[in-house]
Amino acid sequence: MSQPAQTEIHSDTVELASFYIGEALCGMDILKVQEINKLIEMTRVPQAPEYVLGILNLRGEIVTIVDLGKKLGLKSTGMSDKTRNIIVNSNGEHIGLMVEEISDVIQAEAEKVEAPPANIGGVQGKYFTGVFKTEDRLIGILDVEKVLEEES
Amino acid sequence: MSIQFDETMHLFIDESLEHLADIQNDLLAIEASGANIDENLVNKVYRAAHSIKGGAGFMGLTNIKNLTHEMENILGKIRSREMVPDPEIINILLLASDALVNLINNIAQSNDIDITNHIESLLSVANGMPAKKEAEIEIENKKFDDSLQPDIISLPDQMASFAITEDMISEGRKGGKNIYLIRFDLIHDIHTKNKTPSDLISDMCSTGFVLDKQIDIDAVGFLREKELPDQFPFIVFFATLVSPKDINLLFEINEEQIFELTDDLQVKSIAEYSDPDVLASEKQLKDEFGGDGSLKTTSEIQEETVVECSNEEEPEKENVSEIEVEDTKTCMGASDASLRVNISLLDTLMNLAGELVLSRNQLLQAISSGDPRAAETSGQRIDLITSELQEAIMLTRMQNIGIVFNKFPRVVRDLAGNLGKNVELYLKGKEVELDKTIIEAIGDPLTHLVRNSVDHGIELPEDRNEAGKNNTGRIILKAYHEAGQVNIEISDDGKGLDGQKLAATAVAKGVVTEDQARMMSDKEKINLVFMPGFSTAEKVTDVSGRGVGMDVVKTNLDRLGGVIDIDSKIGEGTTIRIKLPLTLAIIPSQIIVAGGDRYAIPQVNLEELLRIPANQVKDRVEIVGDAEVVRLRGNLLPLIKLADVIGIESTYFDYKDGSSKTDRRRNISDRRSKRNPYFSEDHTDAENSKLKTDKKEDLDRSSEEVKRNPKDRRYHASSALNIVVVSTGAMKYGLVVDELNDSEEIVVKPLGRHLKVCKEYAGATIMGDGRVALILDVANLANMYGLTSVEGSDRAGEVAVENNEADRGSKDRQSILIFRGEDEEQFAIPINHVERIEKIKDTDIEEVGGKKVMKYRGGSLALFTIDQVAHVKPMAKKEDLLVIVVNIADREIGIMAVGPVDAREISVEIDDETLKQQGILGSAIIGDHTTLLVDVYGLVHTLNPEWFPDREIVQTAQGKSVTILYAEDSNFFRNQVKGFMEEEGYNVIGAEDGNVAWNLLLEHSEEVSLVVTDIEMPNLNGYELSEKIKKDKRFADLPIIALTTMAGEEDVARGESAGIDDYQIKLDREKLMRSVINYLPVNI
Repeated sequence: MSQPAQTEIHSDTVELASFYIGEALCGMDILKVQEINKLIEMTRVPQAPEYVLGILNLRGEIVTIVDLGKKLGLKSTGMSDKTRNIIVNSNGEHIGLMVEEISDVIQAEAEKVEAPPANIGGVQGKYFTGVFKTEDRLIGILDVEKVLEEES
Repeated sequence: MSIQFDETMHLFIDESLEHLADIQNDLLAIEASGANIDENLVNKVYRAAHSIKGGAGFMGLTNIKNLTHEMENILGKIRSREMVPDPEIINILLLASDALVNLINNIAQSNDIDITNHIESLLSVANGMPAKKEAEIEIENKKFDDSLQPDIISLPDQMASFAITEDMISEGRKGGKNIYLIRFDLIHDIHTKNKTPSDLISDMCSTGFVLDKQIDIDAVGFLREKELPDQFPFIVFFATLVSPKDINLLFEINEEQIFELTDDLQVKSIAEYSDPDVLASEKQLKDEFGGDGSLKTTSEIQEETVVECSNEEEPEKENVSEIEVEDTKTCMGASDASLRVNISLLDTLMNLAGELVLSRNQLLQAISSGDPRAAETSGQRIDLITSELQEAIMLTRMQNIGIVFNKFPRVVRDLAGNLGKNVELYLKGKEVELDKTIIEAIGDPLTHLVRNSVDHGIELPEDRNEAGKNNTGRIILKAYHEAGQVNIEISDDGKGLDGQKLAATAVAKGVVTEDQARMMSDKEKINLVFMPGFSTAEKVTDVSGRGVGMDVVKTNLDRLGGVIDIDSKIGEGTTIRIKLPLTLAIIPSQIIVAGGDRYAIPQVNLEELLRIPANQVKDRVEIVGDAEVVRLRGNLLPLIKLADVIGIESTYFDYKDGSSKTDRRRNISDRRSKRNPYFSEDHTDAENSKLKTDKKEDLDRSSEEVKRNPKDRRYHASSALNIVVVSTGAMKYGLVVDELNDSEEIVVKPLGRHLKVCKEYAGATIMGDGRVALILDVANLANMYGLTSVEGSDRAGEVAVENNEADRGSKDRQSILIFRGEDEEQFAIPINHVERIEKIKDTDIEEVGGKKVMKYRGGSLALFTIDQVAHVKPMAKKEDLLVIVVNIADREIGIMAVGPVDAREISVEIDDETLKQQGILGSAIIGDHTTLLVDVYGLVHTLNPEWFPDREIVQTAQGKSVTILYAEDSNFFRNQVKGFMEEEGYNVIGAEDGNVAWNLLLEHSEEVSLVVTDIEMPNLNGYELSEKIKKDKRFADLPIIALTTMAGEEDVARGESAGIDDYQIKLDREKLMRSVINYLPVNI
């Protein structure tokens, strides 16, 4: 991950860690991200919800790995060299989100963030806090807590 | 006055609660002793009340102070024998101490809580009793132990007085300290100097320690609005090394306000010290007392005083210091947030931490220098230190279960009083230690159970009389360690639980169906009380029986990893057993493998591990209804295949090519078995597919020239079944897993919130290799599989009951070890004779002095073969031999054998005629083989008669043989045991069962001096017989020895309550005879 060489960060700018879910480029507030890992060997959890890939030992803590694609109602994330776990801190617990590929850290100016549409790349709009539009790209900003809500 | 929460306040709350915890039980003890009071005890309570009063006065907690003051008054009168502590007085004191606990727990509001009731009742008690004549009191006073009799010390102007004891003084004088009474004025000496009283106390603690403190309220006079009173004297009883000359400099107050307590307990002002003569005499005094006179360095003083400060008020306790576990936000939780830890334990921890640092340095060095051997050594050291550290830290969390138990005498007393019952509570094993978190969590469930016992268990006195019981009921609360767990037992001798009634209620409430109820065993019916929504009380009382009782208890205990179990007999009482782990954080577990993944099963749920060899699967596993069950010691154990429940493919390890393969067997039980009446054609498909895969595998292996007949599939080693027998409360089942690994201590880690839906896991743990393993929740697994304690035992239970009934009355079950002397003849010996089995080489055997011996655990073990005595085929000459180590006549001997050895439980009739000969007791058919039962005693006795000392023959006063009544239903055992008792010179009356024995006892009541009885007998079993004998006044002193095949803890406990004096194992002649002599009455 290369830090973009931006010298000035405006107070109304959000830094987004961006990644791909399927074809869609998404981002999340980088402050949410604890670390990004390559795949470590996971232990499967039989009978777990479908979107849970397994659990792993992250420095003595048990971390649940969630297939982000599956959780958002897309097809399951394919495993490849580029697959990464984004470990986020949610409600005092570390959870790994498995994504197909990660991308750059993007500075998103607040004025360019708009309300999310009903659907971004097949993902329901309710999972996003907004979209960040640049000239050539559209980045959905994921609402991590919403995504990680347990289904009853 | 606003109340400030500072360190001093926390300390006060902690200490006061501690005092109060003791006060209650001490008051009960005082009540029990009645007029004959134990002065030490009364003094202890008095002192406790007094210290609370002192502290409360200092903090401005007037209500607490007033209440304790009145309590103190009454206690003072009890102490001086002006008052006899009757239940009424004690009751008022107890209520007051309850109110006090309440006040202290709500300390911020304590001054606003209305306590006039208590004060009034205390006052009326204090005044209502006529005082005894002074002379009488004086005489009684003289009897008091001087060291504990407090002296009243007061300042010359009589403003306040302290009750001090010699203990306090000698404690204060330690190290040559001086004791002072210092009168501060809260207004002029503290308030105007911008200090707080707690500043003052902490100042004082840094230079000495405070023995006692008091505020002289009387001296304050009237409180006027907006105007401070003239003085507010606060008197501190203080011990310090500082000399009388310098003491006033320390506190910046006038010399007139400081008084020294001299050795003869006189109070004198230090103002006199300006006179040099007095100074000299003071020094002399000090020398006489034994003070070394030399000044200590500051650090020494600091060290000493720091420890003593935390130790004040409790000189009798051992050295403890306080560790703040957690900084608490509220004052209420303060008492739970700190923990007293023994200082020596802290030192151990410190040492271990030091060692750990050292080893880490070594390890780092070894790694940087690239020395693998040094790294390995440090690794081992770190391993060792870590486990010691773990243990030591665990110890700091350990607390006596007495903390919980101690509140029950009061609970039982009050409750029994309310209900008009007479109940005595016995506490055993108060010293048993448990983790703090568990101690805190078991309080409520135990209270519930104890209250239940009083409310539902023990009957009203008139009912008890009617039932022929002592009208005082008895509840025993017992804690003990067993197998790394703590067991708690609550037993009462009340009316017991009626299984039928429970079952009927359960059916009526729809908890179970009628069919299910019909098939339940008595024990299962009793355990129905744990079902949610079930209450046994016919009418709801305020005590218990609110319908949320036992299931909540069970849920709470489940959460702690505990197991609860009830045993009850109508009319005789109920025993509730709880097993608890010592701690929650680190638990020993069995690691198993299923589908290639490791899982942990907590040891507390583990009953045993069972591996059924491939060739026995067919015989031992069958289908009953739609459940697969395994025969285990005559009972049917339902089986659950772990892989099926959690929906994974099970695997097996193929030893032929060393790889794991998917196990496709759908059913464990053999479908080809003709014995299985539930065999149906449905399975053929599965079978065909299996045959196909077998064939395919065969093709794969053709290169290895391993040709297998598909029929032999079940004899393949991989077809052996690995079963983990687990228990969850009332039910027990077998979990079929792929592999059994080691048992390990694991650290429990919680699972993330997305996995909370997975009820089959209790958490996860990190294994040595860094990977994660899931911890199985065996109770929930059973539920998920639809194997609830009731349903699961439907048919299995029925069959088990049938089995039991078929067994009952016919034959005894005996565990035996089967072995061979050579390839053909099969022998057996009772397994409880066997100490160990050793594998040896024939070269290990030495022939010394015409006898065969081998080296064994630093000594020589004499070896015997059966053919030395009995006419059997000679011992096989083989390189690899087995030695069965047997304990007989107080020594170990070895019986040489060859394999295969097997342990079996048999219930077959032993034929003691056909093949009986010297060294052979008889024969039985075991597993299609005629098996000779070896007479170990006869064997050794024939070859080494000198090992058996001649016992004096016990005779009656008339010179006749002593008569023993022996009840045993098996002819074989009766003949055997009768035979050898007769050989020893006793006259033996044999009986076939308990009833016959009872009748014979009545017939020969004059002669019989001792009863030996079997336990499992038709008509009247051993327990029942013993109870019957012990209940009869004529035979109450008749010793009873039980002879059993297996004596487990439970049996022994059961026997103990039935009045059995000793347990002996059948066929262990030496021990039985010794026990007989031991228990025979001296004068016959």
